[in-house]
Amino acid sequence: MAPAVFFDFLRWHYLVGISKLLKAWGNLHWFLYHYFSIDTLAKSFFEPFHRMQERKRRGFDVEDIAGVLIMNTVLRFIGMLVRSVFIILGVFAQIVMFGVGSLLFIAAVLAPALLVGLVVASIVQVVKIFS
Amino acid sequence: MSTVTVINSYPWLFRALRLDRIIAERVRVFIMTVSFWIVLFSGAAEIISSFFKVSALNGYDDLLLGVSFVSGAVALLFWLVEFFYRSNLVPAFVLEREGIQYTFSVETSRLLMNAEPSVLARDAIESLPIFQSFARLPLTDLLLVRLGIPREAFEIFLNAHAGGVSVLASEFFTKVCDRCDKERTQGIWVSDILAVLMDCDALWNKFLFDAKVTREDFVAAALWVEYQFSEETKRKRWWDRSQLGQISGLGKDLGFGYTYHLDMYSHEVWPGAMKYARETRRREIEALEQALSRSYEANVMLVGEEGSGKHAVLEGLSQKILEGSAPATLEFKRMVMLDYSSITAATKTKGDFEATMIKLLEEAVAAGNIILIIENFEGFLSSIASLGTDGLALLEPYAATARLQIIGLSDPTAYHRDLEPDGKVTKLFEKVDIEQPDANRLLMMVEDAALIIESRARKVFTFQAIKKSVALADRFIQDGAMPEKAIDLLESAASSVAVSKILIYPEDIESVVEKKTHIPTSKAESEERDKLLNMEQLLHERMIDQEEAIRSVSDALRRARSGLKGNNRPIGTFLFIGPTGVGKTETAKALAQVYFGDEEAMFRFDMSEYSQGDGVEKLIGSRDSKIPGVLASRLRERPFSLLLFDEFEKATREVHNIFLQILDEGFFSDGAGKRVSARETMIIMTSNAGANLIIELLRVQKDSAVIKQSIIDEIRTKNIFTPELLNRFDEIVLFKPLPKEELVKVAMLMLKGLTKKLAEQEIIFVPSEELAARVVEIGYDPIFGARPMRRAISDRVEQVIAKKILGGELKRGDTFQFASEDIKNL
Repeated sequence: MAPAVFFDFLRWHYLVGISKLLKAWGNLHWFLYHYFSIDTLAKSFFEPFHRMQERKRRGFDVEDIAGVLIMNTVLRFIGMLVRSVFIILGVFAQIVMFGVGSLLFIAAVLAPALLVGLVVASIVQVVKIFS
Repeated sequence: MSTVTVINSYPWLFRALRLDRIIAERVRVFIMTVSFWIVLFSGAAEIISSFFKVSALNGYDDLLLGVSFVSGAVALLFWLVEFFYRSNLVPAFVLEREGIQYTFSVETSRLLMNAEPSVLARDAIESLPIFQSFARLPLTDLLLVRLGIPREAFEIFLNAHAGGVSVLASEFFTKVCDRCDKERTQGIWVSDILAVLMDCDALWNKFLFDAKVTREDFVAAALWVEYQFSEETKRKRWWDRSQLGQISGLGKDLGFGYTYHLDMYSHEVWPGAMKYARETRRREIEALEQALSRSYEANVMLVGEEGSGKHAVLEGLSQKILEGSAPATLEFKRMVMLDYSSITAATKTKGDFEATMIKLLEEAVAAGNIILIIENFEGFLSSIASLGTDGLALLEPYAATARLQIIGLSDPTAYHRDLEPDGKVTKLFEKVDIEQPDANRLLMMVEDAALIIESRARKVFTFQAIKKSVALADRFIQDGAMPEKAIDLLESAASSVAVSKILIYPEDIESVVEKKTHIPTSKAESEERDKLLNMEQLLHERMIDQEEAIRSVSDALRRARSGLKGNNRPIGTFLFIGPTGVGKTETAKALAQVYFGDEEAMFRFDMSEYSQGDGVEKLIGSRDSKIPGVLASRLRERPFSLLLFDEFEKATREVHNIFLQILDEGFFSDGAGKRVSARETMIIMTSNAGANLIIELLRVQKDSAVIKQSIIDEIRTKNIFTPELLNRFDEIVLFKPLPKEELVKVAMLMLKGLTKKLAEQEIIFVPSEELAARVVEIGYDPIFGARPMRRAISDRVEQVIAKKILGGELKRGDTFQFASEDIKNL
């Protein structure tokens, strides 16, 4: 029975399992993309921080115009900075996920060989320890 | 009907579930986790030892490597197995008929696979292995508790069920697919398998019957429990988008503004704990999304009765926004409930208030992601109107554009009365009605709430108790709307049952309703059953003669309490016709005493008071005056009572017309448009119409049926009552004038009443036949019947006794009887 179960599993693993693993991997990238709101932050990248904006007073006042301009530039810069932090974090998380996912994918593809290899290596090592 | 074919006799789901029989899931997860950490630590130690030459690890290199290899192999193996297991925990396509494919749920597959792994390849289905497998299912214990079936009783059934039955597989699965087609679903649940077994296995059917579990209850409870388990199973595949999507993200609000001031006068609407809210209120949530997604005037007036679930709809939308499954136009929106009473309390003048409101609205607009919710919208308008502010004019500049979305909450009465007439409201706000959910959705909502109450009160509701709460709340609780009325009953039951008692049964719900409404909701108990069976005898303790009338009324009541009466009409509706003083009112009083246990349960309406144009208004209330009607108030205070409408013919035709609906459907709408139920009420109307004709006919005709028909014809011909009204009574009861010999008995009954009054003063009064005959002689009037006899007793008999008490002739402890001489002198 055991060999039948093993071969059954192998059949599932290569016919269905690998594609399910790829889908799960894709889902995790999708999740990180949305979790760090990368698209939203990218779209509003140059907008002021929390929409905070100074308004120009009535009339022509150079000092006021300059003040408003500087303040709004600063607010936009702060907005960009904060968004950048989230975007960088998001990109970093995606890279980590890609790395871990790749390892797991390779492990899954090579699973039978890897398993056999690990079992053999384990036996060799155990023999070595006790000899 | 074509046959069912098995398209996959051993789906991957079956193979995955088989793993549970080899190693339990929790053991697998434990081994996987432990081996993962071991490989991590041993691997790290090996690397440190190799590269950094740590002296403490010298000599352990081989051991660390060995541990890494072994634990690595175990971790990899169990990871692959667990991924295989969890990936396959999804319903599997198994059967096909006429091009339609049917799926087995995870628990159905577990049930059948554990019964017999090759069940789908067999020609016959055996019931016993399925029951044995059912006994081991993870959901079974909870299901048995929900159904109020002790586990021991189920074990006894299993042990007694030697052999079971065998059914042809094709026949069995055809029945299962038939059930699915009937329910318009392609998913086969545990309940479907066990319900079909009820048709095949008489013992299983008998077991549930003995446990007082109906097929409908079993199926509904099993579905509910399995649904909870399927949610748990879904969570195991945490990498699915449906699960990952439920986690809210970071930095989503960075693109939107702060709302310092608005936050001071509002609170956020977060997703509620009700899991089914979205399912059960899908239509309303979608309507809300659609209206809020418009490019301008994207405002909604959510209209529903208090307790109908307006907040559940808002919470459902909030959940969708948070998950990111709402339309793109609503992405990242914040739903904020305005606390306008705090604003009015904090501001003293119109100017202050308007300035604050404008500041808040501007802030909401500037933030760019606010959906402003105003509860009790008509109350908001009237409250700020008292400050002199026109609320709609204030909101219009914001509500008319896409700058801000507003959701107003209102109830139907207030909406029609205060908001609808204002064109601005209908122009700016799209109305979304909270509909009364159908029975299934209602049950789901209450089940949902029951789980929350259970976790708080540490009690468990049986399914029948939940179902009972829905039925009784709908029928007996007058105020509020469903599902809140039913949820309130569950709350009350959870807090009223003893702390030591964990399970809450339907009887507990009944007792809560009885306490709240004074209506005996439980089935006729033995005492009441005796009362109903001996109704004629009990009524005759107070009533003399009128055999036919008493029999008619008793028959109608027995029909009502035995469950033969539909629930959609009053308990009984009678028209008592006959001359005055023949016992019509007395019969009503006797009925109140016997049936409702108290004469006070009778409320008498003198219909001559409703003979003017304002009769209807006085009875049901008026929207303009806001004064509640007498009938509406009485029914709300005491729905389980007897209403006596004396001399009904004197009321206006408009009043008569109101009773067409009450007699037929058991409810009416009061002046404010709210529904008032009279379904637990006995309604008796009396009329003297045709009294003279009765007396005349009785002289020449003895057959009561003929006399009654003649009277009804007379009433109809003279248009005293319309045929529509007459046809709606359960019974038209004819009261005949009492012959003189019967009147002596009536006088005796009246004198016994006097005996009771004197007994309170500890004086024993012994009335005699002679005295009763004298009362009849003094008081009898062929036109006024027995009524003047009561006056005769008070004017003559009581007068004599009063003088004796005041004169000291009669004292406490004395026994008094009228002497013949005294009787003659009366």
